[in-house]
Amino acid sequence: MDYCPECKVQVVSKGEKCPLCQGPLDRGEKPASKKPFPSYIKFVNLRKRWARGISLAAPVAIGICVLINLLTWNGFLWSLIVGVAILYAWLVGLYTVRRTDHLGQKLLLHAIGISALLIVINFVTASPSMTSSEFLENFSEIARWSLDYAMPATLMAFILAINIATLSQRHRLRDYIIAQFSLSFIGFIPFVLIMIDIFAADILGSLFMSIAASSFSLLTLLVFVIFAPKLVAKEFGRRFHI
Amino acid sequence: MKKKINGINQDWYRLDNAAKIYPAMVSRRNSCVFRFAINLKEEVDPYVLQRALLDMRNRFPAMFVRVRHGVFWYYLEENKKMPRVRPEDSRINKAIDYYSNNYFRFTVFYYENRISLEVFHSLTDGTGAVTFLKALAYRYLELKGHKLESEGLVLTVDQDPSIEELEDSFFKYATMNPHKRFVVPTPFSIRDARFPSGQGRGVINARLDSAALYALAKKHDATVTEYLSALLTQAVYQVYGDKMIKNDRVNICIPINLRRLFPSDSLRNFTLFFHTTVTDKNHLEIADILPQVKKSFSEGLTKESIIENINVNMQAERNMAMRLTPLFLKKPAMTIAGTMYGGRLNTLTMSNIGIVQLPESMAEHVKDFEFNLSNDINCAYGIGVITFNNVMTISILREVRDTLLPMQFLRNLVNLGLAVEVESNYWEEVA
Repeated sequence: MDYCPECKVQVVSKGEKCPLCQGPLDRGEKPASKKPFPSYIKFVNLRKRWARGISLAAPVAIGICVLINLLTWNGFLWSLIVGVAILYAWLVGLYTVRRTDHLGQKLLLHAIGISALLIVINFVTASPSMTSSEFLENFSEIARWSLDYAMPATLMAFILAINIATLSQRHRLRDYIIAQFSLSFIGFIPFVLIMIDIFAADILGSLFMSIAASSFSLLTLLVFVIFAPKLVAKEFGRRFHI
Repeated sequence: MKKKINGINQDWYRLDNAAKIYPAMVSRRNSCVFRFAINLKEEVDPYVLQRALLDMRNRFPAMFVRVRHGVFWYYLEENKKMPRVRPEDSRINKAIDYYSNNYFRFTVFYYENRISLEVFHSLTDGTGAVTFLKALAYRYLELKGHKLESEGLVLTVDQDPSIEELEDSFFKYATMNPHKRFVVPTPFSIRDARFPSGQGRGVINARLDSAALYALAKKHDATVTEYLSALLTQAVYQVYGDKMIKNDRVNICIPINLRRLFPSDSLRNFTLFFHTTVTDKNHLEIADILPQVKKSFSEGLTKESIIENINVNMQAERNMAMRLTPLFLKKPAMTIAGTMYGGRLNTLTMSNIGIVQLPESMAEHVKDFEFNLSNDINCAYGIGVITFNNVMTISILREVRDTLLPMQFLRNLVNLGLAVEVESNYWEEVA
């Protein structure tokens, strides 16, 4: 065993100097050979470095696009489309590659992200240089593509995807319930638009896809409530406990 | 599969009062992980250790959980995945990467003849963790073929867990009486150069004769914890006295095992933190420091003051506005509160687990124990003290490169006539 003459302690771990005063050690007859801890290995979290790099690059790219759009302004706000696309790729993309979140949550975020992106593309491309009164007058024509077809179809597709994921991994049913219910409630947005169209303003052209999406959301919710009521109640009980 | 404990289905648990803040505070710098280790007299077989760990599931259901996000609070849910034992990592008490750990918030490591357990503080406190580690080591030795008798000192896998082991004892002992908020003055803070974030901490373990230290403490009519607190305070003044220009207050944060004062079989958190406060850097003799330390203990450790403290902590949990605030809004507030009212009030942290008792048939296979505290983001040192078989192991875990404080503290122990053995991971040379 080694000994530090300054600190007057026995040093049992193998080392060049005293761990307390960093001074030289008197080597014993049997020098200390114990390595009480594993050797140091420098840890580099590459995943986090990439995420930080992308988180820095994305807002810079958005800023550059906005600047170029303003400097070369011809009435077409293309930077909004690019900005929303980069935002979607950045936030939802990073979330997708995170290992810690399960498929249900990722599908939910993609549904919201893609719907938002399609709506922005529709409105920017369909009304490049209209005044606000022209915009409101022709709203249902402008919004036809996204609100009538694209958004309801996207929501239906992702609700179907979550249903398939749930059925194929029934042992993880409990994990998917909240994402399932969340997306199904979002699937009622077309229904809200239908009500606005009927009772307030003419915003939709065709109601078919909106009715289909809302019905599909309702059917999904009813299936869970009818066939797994205890599971749903328990999961909501624990998630919403105060 | 639901766990039936005394006929009650239990596959999820609310976080106890102390545990609620840890998921909000955890970060790369502040892992909220503490460590216990048991050094055996034989090399550890990882395959047998893995089998022993899997056998622990039914006996310790509150450990085999994952932390989930609720809308208003975090909660614990049964984790059906398999925990794996791992070779020990050189970075002590790092934040647990729960994805690669199958979402478990504890990890069992092995290294030569040592089994170590690192636990996230939301699951349990020191008492719960050492109980789990004892049971795990007991089962491991059983599977290795040793004939053991528990003598009622170790929980065994053939027993069923009781509902009392899973209770939130804070909830049980909190009263609705009016309470006052205790104000802890801000102390001197150690601001030496730190190790890079997320790259581990320096560890110095010191072993000495516990009976000799106990005799010294008795001479001053103090407990071992009081005496060690005074010695640490003395070392802080000796090393940092010249830097204490505006503030010479030294606070040592000491977790108190409330089971000693309030009967509880709970294996979850049931500790409270209190502070010893000393405010005079000019009188460095133990005879001057110890009375102030003892005064802190006598005022802070009465049943009435502890219940007041519990009531203060429970107040936040019971407040309806707090309960109805969504978690995504509560989390930053809890993080700020933890930082402001936690580490900033400590110069350093010390915890004395006390004497670990093992059945005789098991003790002959065990050399000693180690205990490493989790370090707070603002607190440079965490000192864990644990005693077994008349050997006291003092583990000094530090965030800073400098070793002056451990050096001074251990030299003071040597000057008192104690023989001290030291080992280190020499982190200042590598990180």
